[in-house]
Amino acid sequence: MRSFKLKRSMTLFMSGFFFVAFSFGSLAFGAEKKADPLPTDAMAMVKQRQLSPDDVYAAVSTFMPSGKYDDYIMFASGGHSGQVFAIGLPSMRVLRTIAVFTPEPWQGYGYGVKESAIANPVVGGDGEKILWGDSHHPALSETKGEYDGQFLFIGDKAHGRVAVIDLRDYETKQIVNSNLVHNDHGGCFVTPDTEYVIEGSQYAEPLGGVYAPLSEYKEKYRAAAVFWKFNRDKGRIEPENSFAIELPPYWQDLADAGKGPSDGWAFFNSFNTEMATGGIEEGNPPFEAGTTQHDMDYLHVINWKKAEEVVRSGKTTLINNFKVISLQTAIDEGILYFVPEPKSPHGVDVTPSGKYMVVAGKLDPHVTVFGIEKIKKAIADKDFEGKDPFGVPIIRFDSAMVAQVELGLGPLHTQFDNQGYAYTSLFLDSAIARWTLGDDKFKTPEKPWTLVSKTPVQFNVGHIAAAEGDTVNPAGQYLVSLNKWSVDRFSHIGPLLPQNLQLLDISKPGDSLRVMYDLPIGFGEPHYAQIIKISRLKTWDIYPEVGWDALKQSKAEVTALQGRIEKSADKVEIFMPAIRSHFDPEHVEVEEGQKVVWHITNLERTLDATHGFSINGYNIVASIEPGETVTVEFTAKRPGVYPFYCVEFCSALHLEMTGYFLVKPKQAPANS
Amino acid sequence: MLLLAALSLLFSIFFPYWYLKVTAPQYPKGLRVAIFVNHLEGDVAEIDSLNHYIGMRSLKEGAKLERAVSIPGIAIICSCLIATVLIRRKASVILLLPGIIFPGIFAADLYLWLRDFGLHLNPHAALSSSIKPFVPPILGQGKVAQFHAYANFAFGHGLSMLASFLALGAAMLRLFPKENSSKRGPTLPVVLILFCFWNISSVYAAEFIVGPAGYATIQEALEASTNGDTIVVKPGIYSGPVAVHKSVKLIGVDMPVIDAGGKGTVVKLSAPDILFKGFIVRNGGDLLSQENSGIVATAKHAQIEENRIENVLFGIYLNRSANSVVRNNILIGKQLDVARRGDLIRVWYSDDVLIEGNKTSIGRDVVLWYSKNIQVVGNDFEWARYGLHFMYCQSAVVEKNKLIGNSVGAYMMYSNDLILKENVILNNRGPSGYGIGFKDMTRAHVENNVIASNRVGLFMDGSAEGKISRNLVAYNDIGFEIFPTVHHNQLSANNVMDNTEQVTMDSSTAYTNNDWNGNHWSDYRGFDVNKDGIGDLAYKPLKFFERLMDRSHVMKIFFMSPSVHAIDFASAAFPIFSPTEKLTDAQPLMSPLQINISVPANPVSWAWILTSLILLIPLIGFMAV
Repeated sequence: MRSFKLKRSMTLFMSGFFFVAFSFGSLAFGAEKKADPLPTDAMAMVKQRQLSPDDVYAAVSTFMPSGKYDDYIMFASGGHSGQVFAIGLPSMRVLRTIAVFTPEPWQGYGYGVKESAIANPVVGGDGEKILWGDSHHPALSETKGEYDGQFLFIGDKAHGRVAVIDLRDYETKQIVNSNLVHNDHGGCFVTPDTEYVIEGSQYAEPLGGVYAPLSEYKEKYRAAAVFWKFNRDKGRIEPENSFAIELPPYWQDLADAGKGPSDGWAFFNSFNTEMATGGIEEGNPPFEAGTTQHDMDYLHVINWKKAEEVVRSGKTTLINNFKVISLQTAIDEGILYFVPEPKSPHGVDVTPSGKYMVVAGKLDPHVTVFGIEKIKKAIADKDFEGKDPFGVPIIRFDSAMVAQVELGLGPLHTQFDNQGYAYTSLFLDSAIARWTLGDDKFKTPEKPWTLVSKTPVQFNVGHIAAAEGDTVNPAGQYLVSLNKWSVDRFSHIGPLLPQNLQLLDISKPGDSLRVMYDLPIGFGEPHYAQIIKISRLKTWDIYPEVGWDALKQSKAEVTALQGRIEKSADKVEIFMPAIRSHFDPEHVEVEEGQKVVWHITNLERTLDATHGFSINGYNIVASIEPGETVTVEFTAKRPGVYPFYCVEFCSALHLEMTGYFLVKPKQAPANS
Repeated sequence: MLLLAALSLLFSIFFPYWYLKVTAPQYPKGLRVAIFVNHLEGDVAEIDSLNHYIGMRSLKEGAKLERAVSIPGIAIICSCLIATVLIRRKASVILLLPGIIFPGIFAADLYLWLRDFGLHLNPHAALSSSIKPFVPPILGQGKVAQFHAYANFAFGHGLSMLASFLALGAAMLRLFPKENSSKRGPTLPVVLILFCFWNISSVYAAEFIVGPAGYATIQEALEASTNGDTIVVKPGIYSGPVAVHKSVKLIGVDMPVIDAGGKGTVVKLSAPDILFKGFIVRNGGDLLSQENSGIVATAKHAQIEENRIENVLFGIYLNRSANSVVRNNILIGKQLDVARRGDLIRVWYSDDVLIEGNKTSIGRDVVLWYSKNIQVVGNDFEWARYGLHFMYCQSAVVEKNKLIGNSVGAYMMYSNDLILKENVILNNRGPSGYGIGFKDMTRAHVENNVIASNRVGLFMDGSAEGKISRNLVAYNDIGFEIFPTVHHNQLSANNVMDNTEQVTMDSSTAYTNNDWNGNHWSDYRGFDVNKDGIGDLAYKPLKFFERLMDRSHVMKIFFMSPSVHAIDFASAAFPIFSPTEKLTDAQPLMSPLQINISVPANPVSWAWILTSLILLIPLIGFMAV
């Protein structure tokens, strides 16, 4: 009896066991029962490559079949490559580089073409031409707070410059320099209608490039918040209508422009209100210690609309021919206020509604949210904690602060989506925190001002970029994590490792973020990016007319529609159309020492019919797109025979698209 | 020896023998007069002008004869001393007598003159009716009208005392010689000299009293004092802020209160070598941007002990205050949101500091930055944000602390050669929730800690050459979280028990080279045939269920249930998706190790109940098996 019972209960137990096991097993693999199974060869590939269900989902979400287009383009800065990269999302395919601060031969940028923003490079303190930049934060032009897809602005941290890129042809049209300081970091950021492009300096210097010893740091060293006036019709920044505000030497960091209720205001972080000047060699605390001494630094709140009026009424001084509102004037006119912000912060980001500014604490595991209404009220009520050593009023912290949310270690930078979530990068935790805004443009299912989830990224993330994430209408869907260290994500390729840009899917609420793709960038260090819907971009496929000057973005004055050579006393001028597959003329002969002016016009009207131009043995290369005309000027210093040829593969007879440039030696002087 | 005595006496001419200091509200810095053997120095004119209102004679009129003969007198005494060296007879001892009694004569003479001046006041003076004749103090505190007076002997007198002792010593030797006195020669004088100098410094250090019977405020006593003095503060409530700008010992009796009324910093220690002990310091300001604190020390060697600091934003802030000691203080912050509070202990750029036996509550972080060789011992940092936040502190020792219930227990960054041992790190469960977090730490020794019930026990990023052993890592959501930049560490002899996920390593092992040999893993399923206490199969965590948990955290509900074992069994039997190998422990221990900690026990602490439970459960489990 006993053994029988045991046997039965054993059976029952075993079946129960296997039932539980298989039911949970099927739960795990359950989705497949309901959905269509993958084709068998695909399944075999999945097994062979040992992919997990997550891997399969990520692959299917990001793969772009041949001929299909991405939904978004991400413009990422190139760091000290000095360029900008255009990357399609969600495929994360690098589509192209855009040359900005560094010569780039494929684009014919910086190698002899006159109609180019880099044609006359600035000369540095060593007397050498500056041929690179440290491009950091790109900003797309906005209309009414949304991306309009027309222009891209980017700053150069190494030399304190701003570049304007025209997105009709993806070329840099202008590089400006205020000549106030030699560096920037808080740039570029645009006001909601791109009235101004903001460029904030970082390391304090005496304004205008003059000398002062470090012992006079407090008296002589200053910062500059530059507001570049942008003329949309001309597609150019107008330095003569721009201005700067002199700021205390607090090492300003990042900035953002307000919108909606905060339109007319700009915000800058700072991280060295200690005014530490380092000097390890003299026994002083090093910069890293000195700049982190204070528990709080100052958020700069600047009323740029009021500053505009101050400039119009002439209350500015000129430094290196640039209009500057002095620090004292800024204080007197009520343009500049400070709000204490925790601990050497990094990013300041305005929420989609424009009501709140999120400051990421860097050394503080919280983000601090300030409200514009509270700040305006504090200014009106003169609710100040005191003044800084220069006399700038400091708004009481509690009167400006709306919320503080604990996210994790090392918060740096915040972006937003269309579900009411905010995303903050956590450098030390190597993760992205998703948290809820309170009473902003969108409502989340969770409580306001709460941390929802933390998603690990690989590794140590700096900035993040959400699709249209700094506009009044974020698109949601995708977030890119610009990670600083890739470590072991990619094959060993030497001691200098690539960065890792990771694509995350942020489309669903709650704790649902997942990493979809790792993109190694082994040709630059993207700091920040802008992600825009492709539908907003109105890019040209060819230039509108034949004989187009790409720098002026209009018909050129001098074109080469027909081939001819004009010789005059001081120069030889060549007019050379390029069309598949020949140049005209094919023989160009000059005397040694003669000046040469060479115009080349691409007569094509078809897509991708680009011609290149280079003279063998010369430091000259041009890339001439359909319709474009370029001018190359040089002196033929050495006699010889130099073939010239089309560098960009254009046709079946591309190899034959060539000519001879002949430099006759000077006649030897007649001997007596 | 006698030569030394003579020299000493000679030198005493150049130093003051006695001084008097008077303070009053209208003289916050006080007035001072010092008496040398032959002249007066100090605020003589001012004191004279004050004295004439009460009818006291001008100071210059006192001891005229003595001052006149003092120099020749000392010369004679010195020559007598020297003469004794030459005259070797016992009777010559008599020549030493003047030298021996000289300090006494001075004191007696001074006293007589003080009596004379004080008792013979001019009855026609302006304020004669308000002051009765009195004897000014020769030593210690006194009060005249609204003036606090303090008098003491000074260094010059000390030198004459030294001469006196030496002469006495010589006399004793001369009168009672020993056989091997030549061998002992230098010893006695040296001992005497040392004794005298020690006496001079301690005897001539003044002691001030603050309280009903003494100075009304601490600041007044501070103004009256000089470096080296002691100020004893009797019970009472004193208003802050108090600026301690001299190297004094400030000692509270029965916990006197310094209250800043809700504004600014309460106590500032701006001179080196200050002792601040036994006070209640409370009600500082709430401005983070001004770093309103309870106590700020900005000079070396501050000793801050046995104080109770309440309702302050920042508690004790050491700013370039090397060699300081912060010991046995109780610190309580302000009732604000945690991010809005201040750091109850904040150490910046201060090397060789000892933080011991302190207890913090309602604080934000305990912050230790850019300071070498610090020691953090036996503290209780609980229910705050960062129990300990540590940056660029080389060669630190962190031991026997309790870090319980914080958002992060201890986060240590960019420091080498840390010793972290015998700490109890429990229940730290903020958004990051690390018991211990390491970022770029090299050669850290983590030993004999209890790391339990945190979100992550030990989190490591960018750290190398560390030794992590003999720790109990138990009941954490994740035992160890290791990033791929963590390499060449030795993690051995730990008890890794019943963490929801024992180890998570999101990387291949190619970059890591960590040695995981010899730990006890509670989920080890191996055998020990040869009974050597070491499992015969290596421990390789390859769990499929953890993958499911990563995908959906809700699955954690099934942790420890039979279904989990079923799934892991199924995945091992039918490998479709193979999980990645995390680590290999070639010699896993079959039973847990004994771990010794000697954290001071708090009988009422529930944390201790938890700790004992954690330690007991595996023991019971093991016994059951």
